Amino acid sequence: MSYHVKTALSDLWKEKWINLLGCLSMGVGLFMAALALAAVINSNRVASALPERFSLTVFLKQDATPADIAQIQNALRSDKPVKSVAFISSDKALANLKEGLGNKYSYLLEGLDSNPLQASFDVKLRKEYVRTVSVKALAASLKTMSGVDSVNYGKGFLDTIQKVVHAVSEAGLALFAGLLAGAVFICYSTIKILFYRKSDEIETLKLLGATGWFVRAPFLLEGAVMGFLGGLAAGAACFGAFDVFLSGVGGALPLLTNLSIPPALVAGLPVAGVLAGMAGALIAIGRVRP
Amino acid sequence: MIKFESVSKSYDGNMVLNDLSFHVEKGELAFLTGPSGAGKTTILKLIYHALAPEAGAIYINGQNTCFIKHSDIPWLRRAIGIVFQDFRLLLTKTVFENVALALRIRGLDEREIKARVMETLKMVGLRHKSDNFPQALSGGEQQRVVIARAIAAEPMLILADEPTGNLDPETAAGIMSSFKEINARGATILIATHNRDLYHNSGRKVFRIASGTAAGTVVRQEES
Repeated sequence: MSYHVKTALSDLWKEKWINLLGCLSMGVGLFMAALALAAVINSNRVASALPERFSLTVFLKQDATPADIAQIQNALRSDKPVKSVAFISSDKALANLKEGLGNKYSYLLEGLDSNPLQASFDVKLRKEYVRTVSVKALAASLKTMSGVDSVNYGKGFLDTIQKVVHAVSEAGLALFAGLLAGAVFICYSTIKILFYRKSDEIETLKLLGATGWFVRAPFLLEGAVMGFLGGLAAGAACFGAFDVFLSGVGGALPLLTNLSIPPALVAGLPVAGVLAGMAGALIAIGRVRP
Repeated sequence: MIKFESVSKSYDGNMVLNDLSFHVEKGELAFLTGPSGAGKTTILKLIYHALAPEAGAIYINGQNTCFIKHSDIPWLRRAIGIVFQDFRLLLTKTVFENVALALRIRGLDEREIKARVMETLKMVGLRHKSDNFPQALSGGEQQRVVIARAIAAEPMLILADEPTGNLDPETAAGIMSSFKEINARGATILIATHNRDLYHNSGRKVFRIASGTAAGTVVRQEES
């Protein structure tokens, strides 16, 4: 085993209580950072699942010719964002309305001489294209086509979903970055204390001809080990916390059963811990002057 | 090997060395002596670049170290073995580990480190104490560990700061014979001491420092 690894492990053991505290603190920081990132991932997942029911309705003019209708249908089918297209004739629309009103309210339609409803296309969109900008662009291009009277889509609903997802993403990422910086700071403080405690030894090493990296190496390894262990603890806590959360709340709100902690995120925690630990150690030691 | 040219150094405005010049030839064993506070330790620190002079030039093996880059200082120090006045032993490491440290810093492989450390400890008579920690050793033994650490890497120059301070005459004589043996192998040695018995009648060069005056620090070279 190399001198640096041996020194790092021996120092970790010698200062086990302060290092344990550092590991646990980093673990808490990384756990909370992981939850923030999981919130971002899950909000995107929930948001992308909701608009699968989202549809866009293209109302046709009363005088739209069969050629117009065919042209519109072909245009829709060849459009990438369009998942499916269903033509609803004015008769079918009336039939649907009657069915919807049922016997109780059927009298509402008794005075009609002619069918006032317009023929339309019910267009379902692919979820990856259900964004305000792309839907607006599609609606605008459809409106210019011959035979199209108007285009309706859930603008308010779509905008709200986008805003919520955007807000959750921004807040989650900011929180994630802040907590990761917190983990770096915890490692920085712990290594700084250890560095001061060993200042006499470091001075001796330098006088014997040690380079800056020779002095830094054990501290970087200590930071990496602390971060790795903190990351493992955070990963275990993530799985545990999600199990408890879903078994407690998931039953009451079925939507939440879709929530999960991505395994890649948990697997990345020890790696993030190692990087945060080494970064903290590097900042703590700084430039070692001979 | 060591050349000081009009070197001056002060601490907080108090001049310690003023216009100091002297030189030590390659392969010499020389002494630096003078009263406490005359600047002996300062001279050694200037040599291994723990301090920088305010004026003058210091040459080590022909290189002016006053203009040395920070990144080259470790390499300069690796060419020098230092016996510190306060030992600077790492108390959490064994005798073996303390001596091995000088070799690990120089990047030697473990097999060579083990062989060299044991050979050096044998030379200073401490092979049987290789697994002991410094605190379990007497002052003389600790001093010999420091000497072992300084010579293990076979540096071209060895600096010793009061190597026999607080030691009984018998132990001091043992340490001096170690230095003579190392010097006989070719290393240049400069020993800072105020112990007259070390250099008296030794036949070696002695640099006697008188404290700085307006006329400058006086170094008187004599063959004892």
